[in-house]
Amino acid sequence: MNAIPIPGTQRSITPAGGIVWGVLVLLTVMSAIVRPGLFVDQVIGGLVYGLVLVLIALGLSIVLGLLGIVNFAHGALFMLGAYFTFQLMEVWGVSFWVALIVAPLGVGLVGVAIERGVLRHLYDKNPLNGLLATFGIALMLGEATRAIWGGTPRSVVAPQILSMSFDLGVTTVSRIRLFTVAVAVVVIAAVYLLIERTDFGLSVRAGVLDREMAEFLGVNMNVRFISMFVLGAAIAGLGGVLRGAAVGMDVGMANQFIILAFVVVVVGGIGSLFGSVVAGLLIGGASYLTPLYLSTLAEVTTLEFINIPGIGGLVPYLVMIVVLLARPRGLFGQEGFLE
Amino acid sequence: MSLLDVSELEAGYETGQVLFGVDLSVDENEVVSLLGRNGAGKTTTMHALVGADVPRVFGGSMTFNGEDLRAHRNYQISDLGLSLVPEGRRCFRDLTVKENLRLAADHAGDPLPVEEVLDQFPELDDMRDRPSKNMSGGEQQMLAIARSLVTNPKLMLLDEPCEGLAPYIVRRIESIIQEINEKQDVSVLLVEQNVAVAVAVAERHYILDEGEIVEEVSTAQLREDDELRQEYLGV
Repeated sequence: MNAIPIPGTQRSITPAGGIVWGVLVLLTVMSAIVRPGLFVDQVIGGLVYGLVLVLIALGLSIVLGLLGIVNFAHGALFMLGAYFTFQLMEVWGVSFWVALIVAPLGVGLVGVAIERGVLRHLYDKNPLNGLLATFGIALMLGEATRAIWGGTPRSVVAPQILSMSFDLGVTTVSRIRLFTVAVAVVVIAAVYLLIERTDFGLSVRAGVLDREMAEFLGVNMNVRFISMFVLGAAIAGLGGVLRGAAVGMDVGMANQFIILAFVVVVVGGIGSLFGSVVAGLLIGGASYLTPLYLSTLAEVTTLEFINIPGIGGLVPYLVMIVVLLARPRGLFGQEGFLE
Repeated sequence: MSLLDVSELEAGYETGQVLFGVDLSVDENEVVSLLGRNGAGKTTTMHALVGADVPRVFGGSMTFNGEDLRAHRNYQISDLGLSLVPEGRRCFRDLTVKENLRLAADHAGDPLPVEEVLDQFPELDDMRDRPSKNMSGGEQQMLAIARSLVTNPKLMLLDEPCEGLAPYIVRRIESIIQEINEKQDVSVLLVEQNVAVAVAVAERHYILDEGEIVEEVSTAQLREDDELRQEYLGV
């Protein structure tokens, strides 16, 4: 049997690539030595941020791959997860642990309404219709949120057990961040197992590749469409709960995160869930570590202009430009999906 | 009553009507071919039978094993015992051979065991865990037929199974068709442009031209009537 080529293994490291990797390793070591506390802070910060992005990007990627719809309302579902948490905890006085379960379920219900009410009429239509419709839904959900909970930022009081900090020696890290990491990892692993290891997941993967052929073989694809849409919505809602509990919420978070989640999906490669996970961690890490690296470099070389303020916000887009120039299909994307 | 009865079938696309009253039938254990030039409406007929997204069916009746096909959705057709092996094979490219077959088994009412079907296709045996996109056209065609066979159909619709395949693989596909018909009692409705394949495997032939059945002939007639082949098939 012929060996199947694995993407990325055929190419050896070029001299230019070697230099880039060398510089990155050097910067990492330097930063870790010069400011160990800040370094650990940024690594954990990037991890948390990246995983929240992955939670949003997963649903986006599933809906795009399976339904062929660019769901612009997905960021609003993430935002609703946070505001539902606020409603449950601060208005109705429910505990965080209940909100952690109930808020994503509520967002899933909103997902049902969106899928049944709007999106199912748009399958197999011009993708632009789906984009416009979901953009409209995003605006409506944003304004509804502003009307109900007000335009000022809100926050919730996380339970005692999560608001304490771990002492790591060089720095301290709040438990809510570690909790976010743990929950995100469990959810990502569960989605992976669902898609790759179950009969249901097999039918979903087949539907992504050729919906009609799967139907000819007896798969009721509509049931899968709605299940996966609701699952994606609930996971985005869960991301909203975790983000809301850790740093609070405002109406702007929907747009801020949907754009970044799109960047993650595109960088990871459309149609690849695994790619979204890698891209989310890459972008989260790069956003937090780049400013640190530049400031370390500025300190070591005494060239102050290298320390560009606000560079962290630009990094996701820089990563996207570089990845797309080198690999237009994204890191793990299917050839020909959008090329 | 035949296993499949199609009468006065009219169907088409947004761009216009393609079928203008197609009548055909397939009996139990029969292999029947549907011949015709490009654009005659062969694939349209196949897709109308299985309730594909396109074409739309405007009129006529399609009865399979006593069931009205027009009353069923595309994902319910295979449960009735009608299975399409589509033009271009449409294997799920990233799924392995085993996954392609498992999917079919998972969603069939009374599937054949995957291992049993694989035994019939020794060519696929050492590629079970290989994604179907890494296989040759002939291997993909065998996988598409195997996948259909797993659903344990009464009638298999084969749409141009030999298109673009080397002659020795065409012979192999012919023998597979004969085998599943004779040993597993599967009826076959075969769409072909290649008259030689139709002559080799089918007993009866419909000739479709401009959306209508213009002739129904036996294999002997098809073989002998040069004029008929010239006029409708261009060979």
